[in-house]
Amino acid sequence: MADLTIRTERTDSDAIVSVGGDLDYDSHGRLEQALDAALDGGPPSGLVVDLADVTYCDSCGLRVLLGAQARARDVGATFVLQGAQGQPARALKLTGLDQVFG
Amino acid sequence: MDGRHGVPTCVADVGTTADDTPSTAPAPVPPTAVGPGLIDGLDEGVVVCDRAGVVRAANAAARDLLPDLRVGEVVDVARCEVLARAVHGEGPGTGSFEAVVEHPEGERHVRGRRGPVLGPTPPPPPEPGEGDSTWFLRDVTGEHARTDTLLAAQERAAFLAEAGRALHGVLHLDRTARRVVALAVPRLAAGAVLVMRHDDQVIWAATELGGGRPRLGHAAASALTRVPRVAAALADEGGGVDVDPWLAEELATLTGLDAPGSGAPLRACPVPVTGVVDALVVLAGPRAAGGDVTDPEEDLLSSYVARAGAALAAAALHEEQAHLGAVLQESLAAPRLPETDGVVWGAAYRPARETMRVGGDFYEVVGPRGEEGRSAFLLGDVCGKGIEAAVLSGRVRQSWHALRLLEDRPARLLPLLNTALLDAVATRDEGPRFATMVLGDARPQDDGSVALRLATGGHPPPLVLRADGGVETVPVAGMLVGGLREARFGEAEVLLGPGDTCLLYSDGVVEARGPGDFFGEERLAAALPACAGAPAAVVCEYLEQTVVEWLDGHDHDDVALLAIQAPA
Repeated sequence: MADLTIRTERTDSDAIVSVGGDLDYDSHGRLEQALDAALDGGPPSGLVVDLADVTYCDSCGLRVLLGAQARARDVGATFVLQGAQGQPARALKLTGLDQVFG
Repeated sequence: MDGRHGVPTCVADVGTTADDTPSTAPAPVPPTAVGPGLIDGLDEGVVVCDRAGVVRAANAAARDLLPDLRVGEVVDVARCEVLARAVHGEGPGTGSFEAVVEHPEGERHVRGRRGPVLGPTPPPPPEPGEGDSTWFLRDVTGEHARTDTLLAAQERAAFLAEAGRALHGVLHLDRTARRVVALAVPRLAAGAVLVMRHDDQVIWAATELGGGRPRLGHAAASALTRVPRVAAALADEGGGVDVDPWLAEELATLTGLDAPGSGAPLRACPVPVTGVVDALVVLAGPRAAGGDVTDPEEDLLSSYVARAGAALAAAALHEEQAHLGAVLQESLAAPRLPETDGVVWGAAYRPARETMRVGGDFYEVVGPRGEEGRSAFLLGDVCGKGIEAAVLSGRVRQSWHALRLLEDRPARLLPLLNTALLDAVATRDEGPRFATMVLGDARPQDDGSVALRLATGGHPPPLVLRADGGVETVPVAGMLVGGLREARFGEAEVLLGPGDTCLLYSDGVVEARGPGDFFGEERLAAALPACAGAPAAVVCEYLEQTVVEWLDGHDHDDVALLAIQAPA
């Protein structure tokens, strides 16, 4: 089990949230807060979530990503999911979310 | 203080006085003449007696302490028996004593010791006579009071600590109620009654006067309408409750016991318990410890009642939690598999270890209806855990049961379910709540094979174990159910020959995390051939066991398996 790590960077236009470790029932709330924070207060034109270092993603993690995509749309920001590999990539493919997050 | 008149001048040498003056006749000390003012100025009382016990001198402090003391009269009139006996040589011989004496201002504690012989001057007699004795008296009433206060405080602290230990961690409402009244007797009262309201019931516990095993009773909360003033007292958040004869009557009405502590004075103490239970402790009769109900005793009572309240609240919350867990387990309990002609079913379900972390794995099988003889099945997983997951999986299962009456084709049923779940979420502004699942139906064929129609939404594809040990993955995929309006779902048809098995499984199987890695689909597929030819139930049991061994004691999510088999 790897602790969830979250790093948020702001460029002029985008918010980039890099996630690592296990994104599961116990940790998904923290990512939800971080993504909310990235969209709050002067919303970026794009929200990029990088899952390259995520070792595990369960349905709670997927739910946070789906929710973030919806909120990004609400504030007029694009939502890009990138970098998933291993189990998280399989989970995205299995649930069809790889097509949704494109 | 007319005793002061005619007091002879005293001689004293207080400075050389030793505490442990021997009990035998003191060594003759040459008396030193001092003025009466000096001895009167001493804080310590000084009494000089001759051999007959007649008081020859007494200073002001001694006369204050023993108002009946008279110079020129025998010491016995001072009404301090212990001093008199010591003077007459009848004491314990230690030369010191403690006594309690009557005094116009209340009992005084007196500590006395024998001192060196002093001669009053001027004579008579000019020299101390043989057998004369001198006594120093000290008022130690304050000292005693401080000691008593300290001991009483220690006793109260010990009682509270013991009560706290006994009440802590019982976590069972009835047992906690019994203890609350049992512990109160006899320290706080001769009898005790606890009445509390929790949810829709009233629980009471009562001791007999003087203790004994408390009796306990339950009643519907409506019983409180017969005891309106107890009900009002229960609702009272703070402060005391006036106690008059109604209390005994109402308690008798409620408990069916003879008025608890009948005849004894009652007092009611509302228990401060926030929100969980309303409780009232009624104490009957005088405390066994006796004495006045002083402020420290009031503090003790309120501290005890507060501890009782905390214990009751903890027990009530624990029971609610346990009840919730039981309801949750029940709602998630694996359903019974039907007996169907031409299809064999097997299943395994292993919920996560902690009740409140039970996830939302579920499966359902409904036997055939109509002429086509199709049995319907569903295996899925909702996101989240605990209550949240239970509610959502209930919603999914109920929707499935209802919708399949309208649409039996799996590839059409899934979009309906998707819409139903999205609509349910939208009306509550809940944010995404989705499920993954495989659903389908099974129709036995005349040749003994079973035709399956399958559709999946976001779920691992089913595996087929052929009778000869071959393993195939059913090529079917689809998106989350209840997550997206525009979701698409795949459909597949599978024909199971005799002895072939189709296996549906939840994430918990492939995501079981052993010491190193996930169990994974490859290991699952590799484990299957060993089960070729085994009955469906055995296949599931074997796989469950394999997963548990892989976990090697690590925590896990729910594990659900459903096997559909054509009879061999």
